[in-house]
Order: sequence, then C-alpha cells, then structure tokens
Amino acid sequence: MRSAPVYLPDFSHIYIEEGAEKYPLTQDILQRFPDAVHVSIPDYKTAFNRSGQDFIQQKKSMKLILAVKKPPFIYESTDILQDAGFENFVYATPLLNCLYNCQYCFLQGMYPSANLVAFVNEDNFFNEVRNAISHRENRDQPLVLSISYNTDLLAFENIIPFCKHWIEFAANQPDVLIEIRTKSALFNALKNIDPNRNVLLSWTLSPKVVVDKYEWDTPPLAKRLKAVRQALAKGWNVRLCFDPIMIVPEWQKVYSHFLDDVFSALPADQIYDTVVGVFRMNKDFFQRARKREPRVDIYYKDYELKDGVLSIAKDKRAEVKTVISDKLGQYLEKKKVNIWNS
Amino acid sequence: MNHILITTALQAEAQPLIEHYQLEKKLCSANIFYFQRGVITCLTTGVGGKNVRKRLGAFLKETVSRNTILINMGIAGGNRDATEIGKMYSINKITDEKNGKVWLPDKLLKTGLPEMPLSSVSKGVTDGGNQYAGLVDMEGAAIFETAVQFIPVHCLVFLKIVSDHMDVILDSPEQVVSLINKRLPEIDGLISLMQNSGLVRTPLLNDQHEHLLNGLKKSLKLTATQTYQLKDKAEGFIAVQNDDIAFLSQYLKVEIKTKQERTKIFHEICTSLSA
Repeated sequence: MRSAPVYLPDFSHIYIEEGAEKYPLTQDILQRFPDAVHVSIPDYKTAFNRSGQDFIQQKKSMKLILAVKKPPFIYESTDILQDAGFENFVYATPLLNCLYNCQYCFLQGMYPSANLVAFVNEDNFFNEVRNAISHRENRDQPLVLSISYNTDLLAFENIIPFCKHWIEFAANQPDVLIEIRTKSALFNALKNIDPNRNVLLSWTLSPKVVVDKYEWDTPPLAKRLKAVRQALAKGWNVRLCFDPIMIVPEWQKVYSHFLDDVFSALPADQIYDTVVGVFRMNKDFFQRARKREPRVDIYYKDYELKDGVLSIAKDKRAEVKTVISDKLGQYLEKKKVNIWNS
Repeated sequence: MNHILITTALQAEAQPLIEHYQLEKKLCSANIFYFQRGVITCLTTGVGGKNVRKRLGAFLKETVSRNTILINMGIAGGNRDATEIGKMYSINKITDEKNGKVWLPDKLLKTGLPEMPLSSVSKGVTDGGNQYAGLVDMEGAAIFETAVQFIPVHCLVFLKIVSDHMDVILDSPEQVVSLINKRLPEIDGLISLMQNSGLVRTPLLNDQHEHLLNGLKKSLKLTATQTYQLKDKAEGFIAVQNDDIAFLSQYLKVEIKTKQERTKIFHEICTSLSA
C-alpha cells in the first residue's frame, strides 16, 4: 500500500503558501526536510483543491502544504464525532489529511487531495481556543477540544510537533480538555513532556483482522498497546476507542477475543474511559471514496441513511451496543463506556 | 501499457521524436495531423496559447483514453543564474503571466531530473528575463488548462530543455532538433518509466464487463435506476468476491415481454450478484 520504488518519497515536495514562510514553524519544518523541493503558491487551495487530482495515486507520494489558517479556527462538533457526554465540544484542524489510509475513514472522501495541509499560525488557534474557553456554554464542564479530528496528529509528531505545542498550551489553561486521538505507536515523541490532566490521549484499537484489512499503513495492534502502556505508566489520561466496530465475519467472537487481549495487556483500572462506535460516513464522502477505491468491500454493504450519514442498520447497531457494552462491562465500570448513539 | 501523448509547440521539437519512435503521420476527424505508432502519439500544437487551446482541445476530445499520459516537451528560455543551456528540466509549477493563474503538475515519480518553475508568456522574452526565476515558454499554461479537462493532474508531465537565457529568440529548426536529439536517451527513459508505471490504474469494470452490462440493459429493457443498481451490484460482486460476472451473459438471450418478467429477472440477477 505504501509507495513503490519508482515513486518519490513522501514530502519530496513542500508547497509554501505566500505569507507562511515568515512563521517559525515553517522554518522549523523546512529544516527537517533539507532535500525537499520548495514550491511557492499563492494560496494553499491552489494545490489542495485542484481539480483532476487522484487521491489514490497521491497517497503513494504525499506532499506537504504549509499554509496560514484563516478563521474560523475552531468548529462546533458534528453528529459523527463522539462527545462522550461532554457538552462544550469543539474541534480544531491544525492539520488536514492523514499519513494513514484507513479505508473506513471519512477522509477517504472528504478532500479532493491526499496531500497534507499544515497550518503554521498556531498562536491564532490558541487565542481562539482561549476565547472559546471563556465563552463556553456550560460553565460546569471544560471546553472539550478535539485536535486530531481530520488527521492523526500524533503520527505526524516527528514531522511537526503539533501535539507537544498543544499539550504545552493546554497545561496553562484552566477548563479545557484536549483530546488527541491516534492510531500511532509514537508515544516516544511525547516521552519528555510531563503529563497533564487537561489532555486526553486516545488510542483507537482494532482487532488484527480489521487492522490488516482496513487500517492501511497503520501500526499493528501490539505496537499501539505498547504505546498505551507507556502513556499510562507516565501518568497520562488515556481513552480507548473501539471505533468503528467493523462487522467482519464472526465479529462478536473476533471482538470478544480482541477485548480480552486488550485488557490482558492493559490495566483496565487506569483507563480514563472508552468510546465505542460503528462505521458511519457522510453520504457524499462515501460516494466519493467508493469512486476512488472501488475495490474495498465496505462500499458494498447495506447501510441506512439518516440525516445524510450512512451507517449500519439500526438493529445491527443495537447488537453492537449490547455485545460490546457487555464485554467492556467485564473490565470497566459502566460510566467509563460511551457508545455512539446517533 | 500506458498511452503516451507527446505534445510540442514546434514541428522541429517533434521531429527527433517522430524519427526515433518511427511515428507515422495520421489525421484525426477534427482535421488535425498527428504522428503515432503503437502507444506513442505526438501532436504539434503550434506556438502560443490560442493555438494550443484550439488544437489540443479538439484532439483530446476525440482521442483521449483512460490511460493517456500527456508529456509536453519543448525548448524554453531559462534564467541565466539558475539554468544551463541544453539541460532538461521537469516543471513543478506553471504560472500564466497573462492572468496570474498557477497550475501545479503532481510530482509522483522519480525522474531524476532537476525541477524548475515555468512562466508562460504571450511574447518571446529577449531582455534577459531577470524577473523570471526559472523557465519561460509560451504554451505550458494553456496546455495544462486544456489537458486537465480530459486527463488527471498526475498524468500531466512537463519537460523543458533550455535553449537560451532569454537574450535571443532561437528560430533555427536545426538548433532545436539538435537540442532535443541530445536529450533523447533521457526522454526515452522517461517515456518507458511513464508507460510502465502504475500511474494509471485498471478500472474495476473492464471493457468486457461494460459491454456485458450494456447488453443486459438493452436485452432486459432495464430502467435507468435498474441499470445503475446492476452496475453497483456488479462492481460489488467483483470487488468483494474477486470473481468475474461473465455468467450474467446467460441473461442476454432472455426475452422480456412484460414489466413483471423484467422485475423478476432483475431480482434474480441481483440475488446472484449478492451471493
């Protein structure tokens, strides 16, 4: 699934939006890629939103686009995101697109390009989050901010230390909880950072059969579990995400064994909480994703359409809820299990 | 093997390629001459954006195929400090000087060529062109703008050989032919790379599948919705079962007299594709 030898390595080219070059983060990134070809562009959309791009081909040699984000810097939560019971739920997009290539992910059909856009004006994001903290609706709860919604930010940490910067920012903010969701095994990139309670490191874990079949280019389960153990040992709040639960053959058995394996490898009592979800995708993204990669079986299942989102049938969702909740109940208190209910 | 379409502005730029690949002169129905042998085609567009839009647009409309990779090849003026006369460069950015539009070819394959930005101008530059950081030509932007309507971005390749440092206009065909000839081994290697690369993917439904589905649509008198559903099911069958749909040809001879018969057969087909 990764680049064949005739393809240029990822980030062989860095496209730099006019105005982005003056930011320290830009200079830092350019130093990390001394051999990259620099191409100046008037606006990141000149590269990112071009017509006629081939997502699948671009995935074989991804490029980096450095840009200056314009408002808005944070967005209200969507129905697809899991708020885990928090009310002041928002998300930010310091990075668009992902190093990984998970076939069930909405990113397969969301953007016209497989290249990654990194926004280098971090201070603008931070200022806007401070503002949102002050103006959050429910004062009894923190502002919950997902920063790894349109990407896997920790997977990118050795390229751009976004997580480090956000964690340092969060450490000095009252009333914020930043969720960094990942499939990465790169916990080492954070090993020198003190854990703080305003940050939630969330690992998405899946059975081997699902990783192999759908989570292309991601680290294997064993490596993710190792990263989770390291994070727990350092004292981080860790959420486990079983999302999406994929309806593979004998999925009940597969997930039952898998959850046994997970909790034999991890101390259940140290887990902050868990979230559980099923496959779901915006209908337009689904259609575009299928057109791009029609060889994946996900695109040929029967789904229900509700409010523009395709998902597995209601009775199947209920079954997933029952089976997985019961299983998680063997290891965790009920309040630590959040099920996506839309 | 992918189909390579080489476009040049001048006949002198095309001549070495025509001879090297022994291309034969042909005429398309848009009344445009081109040269072809096997999976290599060469089209001379003429100089300037206006010629390109007219000739290339008409040619692609008639001839483009799913696996066409377009290589625009030709001479260009180069910045004295950044480029070397006779050297070939791969273009990573094209700016249309007329309107400021920027076009970005995808850079996916390892070509080993140095890269440069290209500015497309409407008049030849002979004053040294210090304002241009890379290369200058008169067609690149128009070729991109026209071709991208027919060919995906990653299948558009721009190669330029520096003929001058924007201090003279090179108008001798012999000089142009000589510049191209000297780069033929490199060009040959690149064409081979493009032909055999995975840049163009095989579609899930091949021509035989499409033909069969069209036949079923006609013989079973399927509605537009049923036709769409049949294609959907067929794609799913091939993707999930990794199997062929040739067994559906048995339904080509079925005679449909009523809507009920059509519905029955259609459901039978759908069931077999869901199995």
